[in-house]
Amino acid sequence: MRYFKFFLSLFLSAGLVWLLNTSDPLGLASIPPLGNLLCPFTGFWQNAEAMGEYPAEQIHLPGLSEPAKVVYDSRMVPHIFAGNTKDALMVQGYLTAKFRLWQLDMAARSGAGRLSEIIGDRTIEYDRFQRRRGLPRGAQNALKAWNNTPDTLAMLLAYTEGINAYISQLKPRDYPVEFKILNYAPEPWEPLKTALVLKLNTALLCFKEEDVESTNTLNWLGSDIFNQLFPERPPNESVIVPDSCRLVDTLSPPPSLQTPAGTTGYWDVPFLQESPRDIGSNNWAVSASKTSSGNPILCNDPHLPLNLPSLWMEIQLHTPDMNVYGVSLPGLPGVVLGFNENVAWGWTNASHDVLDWYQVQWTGPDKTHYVFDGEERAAEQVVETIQVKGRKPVLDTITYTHWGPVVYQDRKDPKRDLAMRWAAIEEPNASELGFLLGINAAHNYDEFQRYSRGYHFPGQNMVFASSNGDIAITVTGKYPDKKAEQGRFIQMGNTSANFWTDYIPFEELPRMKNPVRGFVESANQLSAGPEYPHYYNGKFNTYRGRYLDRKLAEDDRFSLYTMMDLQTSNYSILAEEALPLMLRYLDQTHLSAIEMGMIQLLENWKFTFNVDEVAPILFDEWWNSLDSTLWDEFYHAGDTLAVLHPEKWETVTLLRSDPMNTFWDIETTPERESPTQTVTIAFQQAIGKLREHLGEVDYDWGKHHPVQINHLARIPAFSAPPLRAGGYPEALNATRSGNGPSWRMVVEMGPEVKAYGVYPGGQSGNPGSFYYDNFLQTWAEGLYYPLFFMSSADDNRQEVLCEGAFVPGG
Amino acid sequence: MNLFFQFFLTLLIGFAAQFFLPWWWVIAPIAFLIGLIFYNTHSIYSFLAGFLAGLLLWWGMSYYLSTLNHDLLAGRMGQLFGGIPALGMELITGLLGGLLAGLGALTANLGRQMIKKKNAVEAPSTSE
Repeated sequence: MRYFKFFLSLFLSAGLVWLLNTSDPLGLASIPPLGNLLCPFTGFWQNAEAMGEYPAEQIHLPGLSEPAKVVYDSRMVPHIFAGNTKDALMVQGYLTAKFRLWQLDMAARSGAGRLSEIIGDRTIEYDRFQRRRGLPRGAQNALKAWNNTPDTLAMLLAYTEGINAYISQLKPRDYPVEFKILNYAPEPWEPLKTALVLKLNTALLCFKEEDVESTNTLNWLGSDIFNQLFPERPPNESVIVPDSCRLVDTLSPPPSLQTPAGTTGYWDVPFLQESPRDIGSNNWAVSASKTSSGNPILCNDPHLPLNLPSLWMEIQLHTPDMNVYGVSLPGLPGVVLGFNENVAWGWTNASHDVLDWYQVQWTGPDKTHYVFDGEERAAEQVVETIQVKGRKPVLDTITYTHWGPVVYQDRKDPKRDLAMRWAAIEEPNASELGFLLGINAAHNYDEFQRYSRGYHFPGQNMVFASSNGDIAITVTGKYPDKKAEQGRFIQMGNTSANFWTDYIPFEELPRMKNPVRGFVESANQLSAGPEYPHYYNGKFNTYRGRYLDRKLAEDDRFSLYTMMDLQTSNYSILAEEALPLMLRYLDQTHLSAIEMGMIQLLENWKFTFNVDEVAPILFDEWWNSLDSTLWDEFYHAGDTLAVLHPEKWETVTLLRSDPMNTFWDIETTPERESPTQTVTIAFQQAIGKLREHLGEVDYDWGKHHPVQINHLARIPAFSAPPLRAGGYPEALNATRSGNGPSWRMVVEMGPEVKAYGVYPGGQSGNPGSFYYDNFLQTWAEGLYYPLFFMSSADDNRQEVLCEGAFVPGG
Repeated sequence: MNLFFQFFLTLLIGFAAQFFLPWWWVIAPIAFLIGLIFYNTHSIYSFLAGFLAGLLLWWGMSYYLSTLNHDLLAGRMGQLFGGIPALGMELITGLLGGLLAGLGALTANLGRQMIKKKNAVEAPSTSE
C-alpha cells in the first residue's frame, strides 16, 4: 500500500510536469508547454512591462568604434547619437531587436517561406507560394549584388551585429511573448534576412498583374467590348508628370509584339495571392510660394495593410555627417520615409507592371523540356524542402524555365503551363543597397537624384522637398522597357522575341522639378501622359489624384495644419460624380417615407465619409449593390473563370453617358432592364441590407465601417479592438478595415524643420507594453504628434523619458 | 512549527532557484528535496506545506509583476485563454504552482514513510 501511494504520487508529479512541459500533449490544438508559459519566472508574466519605470541602460556593443547615446522621447521614439553612420546603424539594429524582435523573425520567415516551421500545416501553401514565386531566390540574387559593394555591405553588417548583440544577451524568459506562445527561439540575424524583408515588401507592392484575367476576359468579350470597357488609360485621368515626353529624345511609339495579344486562349489556373487591391498612397509637396510660412511643405501617407506590431518604427539617427528622422522598416538599416535638416521625401507606389506570364509549351507529359526558338530546351528542377512543425517535411519540385519559375500548373491542359518573369527577383545593380543611406544623408536635389538611380523595387513615385526651396517628384525604379501591350496579356513563351531585355533609362523616367503650378503630387495614378514613348501598363487610380490636383491648385496659403486637414480628408470625387447620377436615375414613385428620408439625407450630403455621418452608409451600400447588379455578368463569369472586373470610373461612365449599354441588363431576369430599373433595384437591395440597422439610434459610418487592426499572427487577444475612423478607399484618407494610411507625415522644410506624424500602432512590439498600441486613438481621430527632431543629445525643447548609453567593448 | 519551516524553506529556496532553473525545477524537485528533510506523520500536511509555498510563490510573483503592468498583459493573455480576467490568470498560475510543489512535498513524505516502514519497528502511523 505504501509503495503504491508513493509511486502513485511520484507518477502524478512527474506526469503533471511532463504534461505542462510538452507542446500540445493531447494533439488537440497548437498549445505551447503551459508550465513554462504560466510560470511567473519564465513565462508571459515576464513580458508584462512595469509602467513608468525606465531604468538607465548601459549596453556593451563590442563592434562600436566610439560611445553612443540614445534618448527616448515621451512616445518612446529612440533618438540615436553616434560618432559615425556605422555605429548609428549598429545601435539601430540593437534597438529594433529590442522593440520588434518577433516581428523581425516573422518578416524573415515569411519572405523565406519558412512559416510552417513554427506554425504547422496551416501555412504550407503560403510557404510553397513564397518559394514558387522566387522570394528566397530573389533575396540570394540581391545579396550576390550587394557583396560587390563592401563599403555599403559593412553598414548592413553593423546593423546585423546590433540585432545579434541584443539576441545573444537574451535568456529564454526575456524572449518576446509570441516566441513563448509559439514555443520557439529567436535565430541570429544575417544580411540575407534583410534581403528577404526587402523582397517580402516588394511582393506586397509590385506582385501585381492581371495577365490571366485580361487574357480570359479578352477571349470572353472579344476585342471590341474589351477595349471599350478596359482601355489602358481611364478618362478624366490625373497624371503625375503631365509633360513627361520632354525627357525623351525620340518620340517614336514603342514597337509592337510579334504575336498578337491574347492568342493563348482561356486559362484555368489557381488563384494567386497578389498584392492587395485598392492599395494606394498619397504624397505631395508645395513650393514656398504656396505656403503662408514661405517654406516648402511635403506630405506623405502610404496606405498599406495595418497590423500590430506596426510595419513602421519611428527613429532618429544623428551623426556628425547625418541627422535623419522618420520611420524605419524593421529589418532594413536607415530611415525609409522621413527627412533630414536639408531634404524631406515620401513615396507612393508606382503600379507599373513588372510581372509577366509566359505560356510554356512542354514537349512531353513529364514536363522536363519545352519548345523555345524552334528547339527543345531542358527545364531546371529544384526540390524545395519545407519543414513543418509537428510532422514530416513537405517536398516541392519547382521547375525553372529561362523565363523564370513555373508557379502553378494549368489545370486542364497538361501540355502547357505558365512561367513567370518578375523583374523584382532578378539580380539588382550593386548600388541598390547604398540607396537608402545615401538619401538619408542627402543635402540637396542633385544628391538625392544621384542615390535614387540605385533604387529598383518596388517602383515608387518619390516626392521631394528641400530647405533651399526645391520641390520635385520622380517616378523611381527599374522598369522594363516593353513593347506595346507586352505583359498586358499572357505571352507566347516559345520565342525569345517576347523577352524584354532593356530597362527604361533613369534619365527618361517621368520627373518634374519646381513646376510653375507650385506643387507636385502622386496618388498611384498614371505616371506620364499618353505621348510618353515608353510603354506603361498597370493598375492606376484616379479619384484621389484628381482631388489632390484640385485642392493643391485652389490655395496658395497652405500651412502644416491645412495640410493635415487635406491628408485626413474624407471627401470623395467618386461620390461627388456618381451620386447625382444615381439619384437622377432612381425611380422615386414607389418609395416609402423612410426611404424618402434616406434620399433626403443623400441629397444634402457633401460627399464626405466622416465617422459620424449616416449618408456614407447609404451611398456605400447602394454603390456596392449597383456594382453587383450592373456588372452581374462579370460576377457570374467569375464563378468559373478568372476575369477582370470593370473599374469604378467605368460605372460612372455608364451612368453618365451610356444608357443603352447592354450591361445594364440583369442576366437572370427575362426582361431587359433600363438604367432606371437597375439603379432602383440596387437601391432597394441596399435598403434591404440595412433594414436591421434602421431603428438604431447612433448607427453611423464609424459603426458601419469599423477599422480592424490585427496582430501579425492573427492572435485575437493581441489585436486592437475595432476602431472608429472615417475614410473611404477613394478619399485621400483611404482607410478601411485592415488597410489604410500606415504613416501620416507633414513636414515643413524651413531653416528649422517642423514635422508632424502618426502611425496606427506603437513603438513596442510587446503586447505587454504600454507602447504597443498607444498611437491608435490619435491616428483614428486624424490627429498628429509633433515629431521631436533633436538637434543634439541635449536638446530639451520636448520632454524625454529616459536615456541609454552604448559603450564599445565587451 | 515544523510545517511552517517546511513552508518557509520551500518558498525561500524556490524563489532563489526560480531565477536560474527551468520552470518545473523550482517547484517539484525543490519541494521534494525539502520534503525529505521534514517528516510528517500525516502526509496531507506535507502536501499543504508544499502547496501553500508554491501557491504563494507563483501567485505572489505573478501578482507583483501584473500590478506594475496594470494587468495589461494578464488581461490580454486571459482573452487568449478564453476570457479569463487578469485576477483569474494569477489564481490559475498560483494554483498550478501550489499543485506542483504540493505533489513534490507529498511524494517526498510518502517516500520517507515507505522507507521508514521497511525498517520500522514502531506502529504504523494512522492512515491519512
